[in-house]
Amino acid sequence: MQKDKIFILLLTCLLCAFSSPTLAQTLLENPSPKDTVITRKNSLVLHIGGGGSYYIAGINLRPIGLENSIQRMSAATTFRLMWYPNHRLRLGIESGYTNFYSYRVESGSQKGRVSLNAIPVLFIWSMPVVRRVNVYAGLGTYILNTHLTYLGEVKSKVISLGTNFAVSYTHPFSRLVGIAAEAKFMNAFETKDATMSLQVQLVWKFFQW
Amino acid sequence: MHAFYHKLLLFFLIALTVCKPAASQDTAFRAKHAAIVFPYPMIYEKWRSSIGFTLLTTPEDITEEVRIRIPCGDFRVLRRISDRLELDGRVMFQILQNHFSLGARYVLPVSEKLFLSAGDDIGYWFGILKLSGFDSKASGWANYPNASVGYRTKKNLLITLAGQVSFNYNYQAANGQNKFSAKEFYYNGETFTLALEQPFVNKKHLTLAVSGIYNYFYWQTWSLYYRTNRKVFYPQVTVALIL
Amino acid sequence: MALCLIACKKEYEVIMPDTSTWADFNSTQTTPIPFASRTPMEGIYGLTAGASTFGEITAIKWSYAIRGADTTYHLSGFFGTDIAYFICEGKRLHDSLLFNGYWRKMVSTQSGIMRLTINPTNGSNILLGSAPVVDSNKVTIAGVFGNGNDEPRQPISFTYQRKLHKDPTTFHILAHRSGGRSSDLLPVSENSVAMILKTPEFGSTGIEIDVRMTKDGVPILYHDNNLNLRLVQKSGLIGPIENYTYDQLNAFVRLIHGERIPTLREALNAVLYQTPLTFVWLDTKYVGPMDKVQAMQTEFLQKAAAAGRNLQIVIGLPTEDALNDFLKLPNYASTPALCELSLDDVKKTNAKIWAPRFTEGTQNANVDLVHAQGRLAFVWTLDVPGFTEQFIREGKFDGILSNFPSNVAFYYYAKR
Repeated sequence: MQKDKIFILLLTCLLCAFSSPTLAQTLLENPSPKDTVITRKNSLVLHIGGGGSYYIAGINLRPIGLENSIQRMSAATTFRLMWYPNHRLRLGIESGYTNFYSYRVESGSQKGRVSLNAIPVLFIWSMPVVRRVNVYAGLGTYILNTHLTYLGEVKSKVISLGTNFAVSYTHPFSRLVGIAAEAKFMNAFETKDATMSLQVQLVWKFFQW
Repeated sequence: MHAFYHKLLLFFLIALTVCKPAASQDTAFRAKHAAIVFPYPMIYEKWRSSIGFTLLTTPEDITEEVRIRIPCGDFRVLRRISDRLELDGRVMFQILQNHFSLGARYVLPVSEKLFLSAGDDIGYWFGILKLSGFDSKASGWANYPNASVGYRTKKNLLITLAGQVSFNYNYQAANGQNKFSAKEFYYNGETFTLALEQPFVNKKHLTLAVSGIYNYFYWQTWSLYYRTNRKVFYPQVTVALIL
Repeated sequence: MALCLIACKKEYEVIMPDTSTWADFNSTQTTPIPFASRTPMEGIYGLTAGASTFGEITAIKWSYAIRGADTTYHLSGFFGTDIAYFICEGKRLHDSLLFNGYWRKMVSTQSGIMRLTINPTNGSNILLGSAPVVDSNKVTIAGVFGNGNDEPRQPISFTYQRKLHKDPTTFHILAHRSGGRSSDLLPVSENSVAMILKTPEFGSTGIEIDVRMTKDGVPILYHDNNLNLRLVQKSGLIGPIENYTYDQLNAFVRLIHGERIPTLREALNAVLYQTPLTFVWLDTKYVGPMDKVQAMQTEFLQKAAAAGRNLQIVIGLPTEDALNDFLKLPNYASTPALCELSLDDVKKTNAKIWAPRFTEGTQNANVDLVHAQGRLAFVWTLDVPGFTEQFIREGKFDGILSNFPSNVAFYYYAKR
């Protein structure tokens, strides 16, 4: 419920951002032309980066007789390939890796650990909203992997539908390369797992036509 | 129901408050084939259409592990009746189940940036399942009063917020030789949609929409259950290319 | 838009009302209702108040469950409107009979407190007599009901009309997943011992339970392929339940209402020793050898016979894989089974029961064929009230599996 509200509020922020009358291009774009046909080139842009994430969804862990301590912070990486057509709206795919959460358990002399990580595979739409600021919205799947070590070892996998929303600021070094700071919300909604992430990314326009 | 109309009124009041009228009239907005959801009067063309798909996810606690993840084809057509009146037809096709709707909507330009619409559609859906262990079919009628507010940004990004309620009636189902029908006319729920329409590639425009469907019964899940004991939330994404 | 969407996404629950506030029922002067008074009370009653909420008639039935050293008897009433029912405990206060509990409508989330009384002028003197015989209009149950935890004030009363319908042969009212699905917002989890103990209150005479195997070969009750939030609380364990040992599941996993995942042994123990249930359908959801399930079936059938209990336990064959695994058992032909597949498969496995899906209709001709072979026919999973009523009125099935056993109970017992 809490993460649903965060999602809705983020969506509202996106709506407000989209409706801003000061829409402009990033420095990685050609200047905006007039009317509905924009005489821009098509290009492919790669985003690679990483940072930290914090698991924000609820966890109702009460293994009876087991003491546990939950770790919600972990590293996160992103790999994103975007197609910039000759208009404002962009389309791409995104993957990456993050550990959602982990916890240790202890019962007498028996110790163990559970960790849950995710590999997102998402279709991404993005738009610039103001100069150098882009918003992203994605829909796809999260490949979730759990690793249990307690009274034996188990590795198990499940696929969940999910979304993500991100806002990034890109500082260009040149017409082809820049560095971006990104805040991202990832949500595997079928399994009710969600995380917030802050990342730094290399942005590279590697192909243009 | 009472609370819903309060929220709908509040929503329109907020929309009207935050959207400011432009300084001058823009009669040069020749947005041919640029909008299908956005309530723009069809002054310059007779027909508009779009083709795309919707993707809906069903709640696990209702449909369990049989979660529908198959896209549904979505074809929509608008036909001009007058400057402000349009016929609105839509076909959603998913092979095992399909939905048709036809209605009219009245578009009201408030300013060069702000547009309103109100309409009503009649819908018919049917589903057939004849596989091993199944000899089922069902159909039903629905009525969809709807309204929307559209805001046109300077950069030709069209933003639409739409609300729709649904009333179901004349549900018919058959399993083998056994038939069941419910002629009850009942309030089924609400749908809210946020749509963005803008140029995508060359001269083609794209509709991207996200909807929150909140119903007791949704036609795509006819084979799984009849009616739930509470409104169920179905999030849906729509992607359509305006032809 | 944000406000609207936030308002739309709502979590539902059904209030289980607090029924502990009736002073008369809590009086220290109350005593248990005599055993001889209970069964004559069962029957079809016509509503003289409350019909606009619950319908014209109700079927009244007693059940019990043993929890620890206590046996609790429940009086249930099943209605034809909105799949409504009430469940009450009963006590005697001087010459009156008191019933305290709650009502619920399964088509919605409505529920509330129900308080009923039979006083001497309305038939309690008959029921408390030495050899009670109840005739039409001799017993009236009257009281009040409310909404949620509100103090009940709305009148309800019903008067005995006739006995419950009973077919010449046993008709089985089977509860899906031991009592109902998690999505039906019941106070206990599906496929749990808590649900098995509760299901007789819903009118069930038998249950269907879903059997899977853990990694270390322990038969457990669990429906879905994966550990998911529909059935269990979040613990970090995901994926197929067969990936985990029983000890790992027992340590980390709790069903949505907090229960542990039960073993098949725990479930059958509960059925045999703690309920009046007479039928268990073991729906084998796993792919693999069935010898352990068969051994447990044999063990508990023997225990039931030794205890003088009428109990049938059948191995369900829902798929071709399950059928092939069943045929590998050395004595499959004498192993009680229920086959959901074709009539040829029923013959191949020598199954006692054929159980098709309801989506192919009543299939009376096929049911006649099955009966001619000396077998029974069940149908599953029937939840639409209109179809339930049709199948009972026009069909020839010997049992119906439903997520709403109270609805099946109503249409069966009210049948003329």
